[in-house]
Amino acid sequence: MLNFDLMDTVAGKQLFEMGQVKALREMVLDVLNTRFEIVSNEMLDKIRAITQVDNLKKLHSDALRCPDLDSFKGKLS
Amino acid sequence: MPQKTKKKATRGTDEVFLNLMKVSGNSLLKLLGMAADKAKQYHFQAVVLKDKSLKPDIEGFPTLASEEGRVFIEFQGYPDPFIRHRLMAEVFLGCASEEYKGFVMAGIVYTDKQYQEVAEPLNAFQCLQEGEQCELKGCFREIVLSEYTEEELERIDPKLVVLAPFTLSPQTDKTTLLVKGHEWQQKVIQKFPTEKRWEALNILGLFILNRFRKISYEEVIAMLNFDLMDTVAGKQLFDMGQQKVIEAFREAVVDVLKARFELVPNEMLDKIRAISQVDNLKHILIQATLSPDIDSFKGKLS
Repeated sequence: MLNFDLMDTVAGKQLFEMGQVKALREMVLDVLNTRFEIVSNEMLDKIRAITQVDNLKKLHSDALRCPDLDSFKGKLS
Repeated sequence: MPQKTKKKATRGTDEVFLNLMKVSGNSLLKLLGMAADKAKQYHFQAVVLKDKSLKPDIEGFPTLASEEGRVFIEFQGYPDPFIRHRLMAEVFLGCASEEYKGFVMAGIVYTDKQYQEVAEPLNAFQCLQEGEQCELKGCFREIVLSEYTEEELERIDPKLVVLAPFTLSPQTDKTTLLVKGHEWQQKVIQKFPTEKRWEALNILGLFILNRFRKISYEEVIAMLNFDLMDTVAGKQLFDMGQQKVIEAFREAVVDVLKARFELVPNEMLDKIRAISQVDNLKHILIQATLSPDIDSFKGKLS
């Protein structure tokens, strides 16, 4: 046996983070769709371009708290 | 007192050696010193243990079998003082389980010399008659991969290129490694039949990562043209990442409710903690943030 945990490697940690990014992106989009119904393609592209877990967590919090879509757009740019 | 080796999580990497035996078992036999014409008569065979009360956590062992005999091989990539004992136990348990009485061979492939050095010899049996001992010696063929060069492995069998990462020092610089990795990938494509190439690259990729922990996901793709996301081990980590976010959100629902409404009934908290569907959890978090009061949220929860 190798007794080897892929999580101990840089590539393994990246895969774990990629899973987090996917789940967070979906959650941001869910909030926006529930609150504002229509989300522009331009906005979708910008959200999909974010790859940092912390940035997406902040964006999710913004999506929940922004009073309207324009104010969220301001946070995104 | 001898130190007990801590058992680590292996997340999808346990099957690497099993797959190596399936994809390239004959090459391993040649590496252990068997003649090529004899090695080609062996095929992969899983020995399923019938008596689970002996080893309830082990279903069986991989072996290579032919009409001439059975070969049991252990691949050892971490310090285990009792690896020889474990292999011997496998041999006898496997034979007993299959009621196999024929000829057996057993070998250990160590990735590094240090793992062979910590391996304790098998016990000596003290016979009842004074002064007589029964000792199990020379039962195994043992080799250390780091003592071979890539060229030596290739001379034994070109398919052994999947083991080439262990012939390089773990301190090898990244540029050299990236060039080497690409060469290994090309050799896998040349030497393995189409149906076995993907598995051979999977094995090679995990061996590279085992030896060189700082290689990135993108570098594995660049070297091997192989996406770890397509592997069991890779998928497991990706799913764990998603799961971690979802679990964090479950607690976020509770925090949002407590911050907004202060008094949150325990019954409501229990209901939230019992939600297992990801989509429901996402919906509940949105409602916890948007509902004007706790009664309105309660309506959404039920």
